[in-house]
Amino acid sequence: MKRVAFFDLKEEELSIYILEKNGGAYRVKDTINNPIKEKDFFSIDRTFDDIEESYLSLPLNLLNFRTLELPFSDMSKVKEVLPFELDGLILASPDSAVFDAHIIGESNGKYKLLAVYVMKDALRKILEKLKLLKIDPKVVTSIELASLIGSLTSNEEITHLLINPKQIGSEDRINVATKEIDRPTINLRTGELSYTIDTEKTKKSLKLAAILFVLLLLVFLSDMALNIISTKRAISSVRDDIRKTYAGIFPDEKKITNELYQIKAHLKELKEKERSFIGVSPLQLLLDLTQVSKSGMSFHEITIDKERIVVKGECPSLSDVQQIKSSLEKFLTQVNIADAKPSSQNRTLFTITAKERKP
Amino acid sequence: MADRRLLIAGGIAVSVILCILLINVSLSVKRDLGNLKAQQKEFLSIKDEFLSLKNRIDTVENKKSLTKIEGIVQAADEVFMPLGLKRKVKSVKPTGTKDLKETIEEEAEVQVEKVDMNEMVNIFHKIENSPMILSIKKTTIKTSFENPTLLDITMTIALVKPK
Repeated sequence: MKRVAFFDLKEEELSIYILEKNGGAYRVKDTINNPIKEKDFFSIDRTFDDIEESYLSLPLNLLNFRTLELPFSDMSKVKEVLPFELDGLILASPDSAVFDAHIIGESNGKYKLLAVYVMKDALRKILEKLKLLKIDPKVVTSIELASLIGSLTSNEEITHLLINPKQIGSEDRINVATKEIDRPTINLRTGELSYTIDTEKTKKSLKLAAILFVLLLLVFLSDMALNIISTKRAISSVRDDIRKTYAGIFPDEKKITNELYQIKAHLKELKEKERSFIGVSPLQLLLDLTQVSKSGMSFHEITIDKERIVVKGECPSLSDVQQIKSSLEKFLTQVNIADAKPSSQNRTLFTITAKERKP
Repeated sequence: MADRRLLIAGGIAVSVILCILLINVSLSVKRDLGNLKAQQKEFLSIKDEFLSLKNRIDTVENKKSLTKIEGIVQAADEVFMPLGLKRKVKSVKPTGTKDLKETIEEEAEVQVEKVDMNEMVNIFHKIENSPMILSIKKTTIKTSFENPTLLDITMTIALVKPK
């Protein structure tokens, strides 16, 4: 729930309306009335820590007015030309006042504007005093002016009403105040007295976000750098391991450039030597075949060389051939049934080939 | 103000470039480590194969100096004579000689007929454990046509001797 304080400054009194926004509408929670003392007209006991936003209404006697006619109604343009238009129309220099304007009518393509201004020094004093209460009004408007403009019936009435303003009752003041919160008639917090807390807050948040981003970036970069360093160390450690192992196998070898390539070359050399030095081992294969043999099965012919093993024999049925193949696969590689056919004695002749013994 | 903005933009650009560089380097070193680990794995498996093969070859090579054998026929004689199977050797046919780096390899085809299972095992055991570098290149074991309980063996044996 948003809490708003509306400071309604009158000629002899300061009323503060504590409003609470509930479902789009403002409700009055509290009203504080303080008579204005000569020196310190904001002697208020209440603290405003629970207030999120504050607004200030100035009495008509603090404000000055001029009426102008301009060919456009765009308020941003109006605000740009206002100081020049008022130069000469006001007693003091336009630099010493803050302005705003409100369109009060239109005739023949020309817009009639009510230019409102207040002397900077006067407004600054009020704002500084509010600052002591930790209050920085978002908008400086005027309930009396708003009520007066709201009750206008013709363009010509304005001067008369400004000179002889009607008294507004407390309840009406609050009603106008709530309307001013949503849509202020004028806002004199412009120029060097403009409301900057929201911008400052955004700037602070952006700065904080930027600092956090930089910190995050630093953490990320540090993590990345540490990762690179640790990975490089791991690479160096693996290289050392390979080098040490290689040097352990070949202690006499001094020129080591690529351990993997060099050991492959040594292995190739050794395999060439193996071809002539080591042949096949029929005894080992015969020992293996004893594990395969079962009743009713016999081998007729066994051929063993470096590249191939061929086993021929006979057994009671075709399923036995499959079983023999499965058994042979336990110790031989690439076992295949090359041939299986029934014999004249109602048995099954088979030929099984294999590549080599498993290491 | 413009200088400050330029400074911030420069800072962001430098950070982005630094990030890209570091990510690149990081990915590259990680890839290198992955490749190196794969190489190490391959290296270790080759090392095991190499050592096992070297061990086998060293055992065989140590036989070089044990007996002085002139040729493959004499080697065959050295195998069959002590087993008392000389009369069962049908033929010993030298098939060729290969000139290797430091050695000479002589091959012969040996046919043995009508040996029983025990005699066959003795023959192979004798060849495998002979005090010379003698190996079986190929062998065919068949049941004898005349007596299926006996076996006919045809084998190619090779003798490696120093030059």
